[in-house]
Formats: sequence, structure tokens, C-alpha cells
Amino acid sequence: MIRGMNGQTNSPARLYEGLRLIGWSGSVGIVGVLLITIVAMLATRLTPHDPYARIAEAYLPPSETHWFGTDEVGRDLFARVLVGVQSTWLASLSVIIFSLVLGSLIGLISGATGGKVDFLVQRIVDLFLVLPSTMIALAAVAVLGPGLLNSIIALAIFWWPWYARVSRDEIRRLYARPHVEAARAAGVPGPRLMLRYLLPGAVPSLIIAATLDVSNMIMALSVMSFLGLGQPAPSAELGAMTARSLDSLTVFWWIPMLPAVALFFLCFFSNLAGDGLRSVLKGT
Amino acid sequence: MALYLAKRACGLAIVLMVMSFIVFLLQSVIPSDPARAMAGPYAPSSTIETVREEFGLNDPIAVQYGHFLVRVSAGDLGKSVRTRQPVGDDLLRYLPATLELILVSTILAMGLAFSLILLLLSGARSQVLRHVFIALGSTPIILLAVLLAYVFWFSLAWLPGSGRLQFRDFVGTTGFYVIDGLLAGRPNVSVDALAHLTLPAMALALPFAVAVVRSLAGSLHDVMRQPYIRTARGNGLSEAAIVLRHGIRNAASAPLAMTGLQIRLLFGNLLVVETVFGWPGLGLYMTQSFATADLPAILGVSMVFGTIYILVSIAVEIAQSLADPRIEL
Repeated sequence: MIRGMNGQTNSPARLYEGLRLIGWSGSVGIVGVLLITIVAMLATRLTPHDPYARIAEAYLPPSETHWFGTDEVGRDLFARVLVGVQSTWLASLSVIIFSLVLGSLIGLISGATGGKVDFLVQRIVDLFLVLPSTMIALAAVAVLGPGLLNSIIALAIFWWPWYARVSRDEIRRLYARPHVEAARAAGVPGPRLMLRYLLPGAVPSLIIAATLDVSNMIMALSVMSFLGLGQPAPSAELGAMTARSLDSLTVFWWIPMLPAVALFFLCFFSNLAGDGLRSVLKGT
Repeated sequence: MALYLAKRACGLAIVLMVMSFIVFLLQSVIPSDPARAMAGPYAPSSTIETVREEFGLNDPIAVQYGHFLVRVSAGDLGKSVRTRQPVGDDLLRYLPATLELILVSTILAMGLAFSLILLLLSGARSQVLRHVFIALGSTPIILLAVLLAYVFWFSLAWLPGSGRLQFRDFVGTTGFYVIDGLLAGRPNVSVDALAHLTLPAMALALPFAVAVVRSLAGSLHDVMRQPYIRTARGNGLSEAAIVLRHGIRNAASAPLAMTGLQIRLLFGNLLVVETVFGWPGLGLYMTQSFATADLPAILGVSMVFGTIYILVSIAVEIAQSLADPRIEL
């Protein structure tokens, strides 16, 4: 699938070759995604300020000591945005990875087994896909009680079926291909057929779908947080930070704006990376 | 057609049942206590007990759900814990504002999508445009709403950004203020209502239009290379007419299917936009209900949004079969 990447042996050259294929914007996306992940891992270690403590006057404008200024309580906004990036990014990635793995496996089994199992699984997926899932997830978190973990669980429940559909359609398409037919004629047992002959062919489409879906998850999580369904105050979440400081938009516009801008960059880099991957793997 | 509509009506009923059941099921494991939320944190336990009795919160969950279904089929959605009004009345009060917003933003989104498509087809700077589109598609609704409010309301003061009208005394008959203004013979009310609609409708329309255009651009790219498009050009049709009559119709299937899926993500946007712009609709009502764990209100709004969602997906399917007669309903 990835042309030109197999001949190289040493990894820097392979990395360079890979980035060249992906193009400059896709490379910016992938480097950005890696940087965000590093920032998310380090988070509070990147700043000397405590994100939860009152350390200065409230509403200080951005300066050298406080890069993003201070918020309505006098906490360092940069430190809080870092913590927000950490929770949003890691939570989004975990839901996407969970959905990707679960959905792919269910789609794989459904598509490879066929018959009644396939029919039943696909009707269940249909039911999930026809429900207004965001709405139900919002209502569910509101009823269960706000919190990041509840948001993650509610979204994960409604997120995997789409991957099951993508995976199943890919598997059905691959199933008709000669190499699978040959493997079946040669008596390759079911599990091996699935993992060695079917799954690898579906991986590129699934990876593209998942990468481009990260921004959807970030947006869903931040909307929940904005609506007061995330972690309660004083925790730092990007959506909630904007919501709580909305009143100061007229005068101290950067306080509600900067967390939202951080959200934009999370989405933008993951979409650039997804777009670059798609152009390489799908050749468009 | 009749059979199709009957089937979809059954589907709607099933979806509403499932939704209400999920929310009800969750309620049985909630840590928070609606009776406590209603009575206030310092209420004596006797008061809480009375509240529980009054709202039937002591019955087992299955009994409550049974009661709920009986009541709903009689048109009674229960009483809101927060406003203490029947939820049905609340919904009717806030529904017109939301419907007005959704309708205006749909019209706006169509116009936006069409002009963006023309822009894309003009082919100028396609690489730059592609990245502008990725950036637009990556803009979270929170940033978009806050930016629009800040730039066009606070900074430039071109448009109002809060509420539906500046006339406090105006009472409309239909609840759609643009129409009400005309009916009441006060065109300035309609103009004011439209001005108030512009920013929130824009915030809702832009992400939707961008998503549709990104999907449409892909399939349109292939369609525009077909021989019949060349024929249309040879016949001297204008580029806009070619795209509208021959291009979009043939390319519409994939974006329409995507639209159906995309709409589910837009309800969250509606809630955010109504909150940022203080739009007194169902979204704001629901957001306020979240804070008090107001189960009857949350359920009621979910039912309305669920109905709207199913109606929209029916419309999308009909549009798909109109665009491509090979797709049967």
C-alpha cells in the first residue's frame, strides 16, 4: 500500500520518505499530532505555575511570566490550557482507539462470518446509527451526573458502531478478492483467515477513518464540557473554561477565546494528518 | 411512498421508545437525587419525601416507565423539576424559537454551500482552498460562536448577538417572530428578528455547509468530467446552471448520505449556539435542565430532537431518491 517505503532499511530515511509521500501539509499535521501528544503527556511539567492555585491578580493580560495571562480567579491560563489539552486529547484518543478496536473486530467477525450473524450484527449497528446518538449521550451524561469519565463512556457506547460498519463493508469487499478465495480453498482456518488475509486489507481505510474522526470526538467532548457535563469546577477543561469565562468576552476576550483556539489546533492538526494519510493510502 | 412513510413512522416510534427507555434505565442508577435538587439542599427530609410522592419518584423504575408511557401517549410529558411547569407547555413555548433558527440556518447553509461549491469549481488556488476548507472543518463550534459574537456584536456592533428581539413588549401569535412581525403589521419587528437570527444561524450553518461541500466536492470532481457535462457546456449553459442542474444532481448521493450522519453531531452545536447567543429555544432550555438534572425536561427535549432528527433523515432519503431515481424508498 505504502509505495516506496519497503525498500529502505534505516529508519530516518524511511521516515523522510514517508513524510515526502504525505506532502508538506500532512507532515505538518503528523508532526503537530506528535507534538500535541508530547505536550499532553507532560502538561503541567511544562510550566512552573500551578493550574489550580491563585497565583496573581485576576484578568492579567498575557505577559512574559503568564503567557496567556490569568483567568477570572487569578490562575495561570497557560497552565490551565495545558491541563485542558491533556484531558481533551487523551480522552479523545482513548475513545477513538477503543471504538476503532471494538468496531473493527465486530465488523471483521460480522463480515467474515456472513449469514445470520452478519444480518443480526448489522441490524444492531443500524439501530445505533439511526439513533440521534449525540443527543442520547448528552441526556445520558446529564442523568448519570456530569464528569469526564461519564462523558467518555456515553460517547464510546455510541461511537463504535460506525467503525463496525466501515470495517464490515471493507471485509465484505475483500472477501470476494482472489487471495481470500485461494486461502479458503487451501483450507486456511477461520481465525487465521480473518487476521492474516482480511484484516490487513481493511486497516488503511480504518486508520484513515479514525484519524479524521479524532476531531469529531474532540468537538463532541468539548461541547459536553461547555454545556457543563464535564468535570465540575475548578478542574480545567477547554470547553468549560470558555463557558465559565463567557461573561468576560467583551473586555478580556482572550480568556474565553484561547481555550477555544487550543481546541481548534487539536482538531486542525489531526485533520491535516488524516488528510495526508488519506492521500498516501488511498492515492487521491 | 405511502408504505415507505408508514414504515418510517414505525421507525420513529421505535426510536423514541428506545431513547426514552435508555434515559429511564440510566435514571435507576443515578447518584443524584432529583427530589433533593427540587427541594433545595437545606430542605428537611419530610419535604423531600412529599416531593418524591408528588412526582412519583418512589415507584420502581419499571412502574415509572409504564406510567410515563401511558402519560406520554395522552400528551402529558410530566412536570419540569426546574420551571415547575408541565414539560409539554415548556416545549411548546421554546419550540418556535428553535425551529425558526433551524430553518433560517438551513437556508443559509444551502446558500453558503452553493457559493462555496462555485468557488471550488472556479479552480483558483485549489491547494490553498483545500487547506482553508480543512481549517474551517476543524473549527470547533465553541470557537466559531465566540468569534462571531465577539467580532460582529462587540467589536463591529453590526449585528445583535443576544436574544431574539429588542422589543420587549412584542408578543407574537405563531412564535416565529419574522412572520409575526409581518402579521402584526410591524415590519421593523421582522427586520429586527432577522438581524438577531443572523449570527446564531451563521454559526450553525457554516460547519454544516463546509462538511457538505467537502463531501460534495469529491463526488462533483468526478461528475464534472463526464461527457454530458461537456455537452451542457457545448449547449452554452452558464457554469452555475450546469453545476446546479446537471452536476449536483448526479453527485448528490454520497453527500446526502453523509448529511444524514452529520446531523446527529449538530444537536450539540445547537445547544452551544443557543447558550452563547442567549437564544431562548429548546437548546438553551435543555442546557439549563442539565444543571438541575431535570429528567422530565431532558427527556421531553430529547423526544422533540429525536423526532426532528428522524424527520430530517426521512427528508434526506426522499431527496436521495429524487436526485437518483435508482435509489428506491
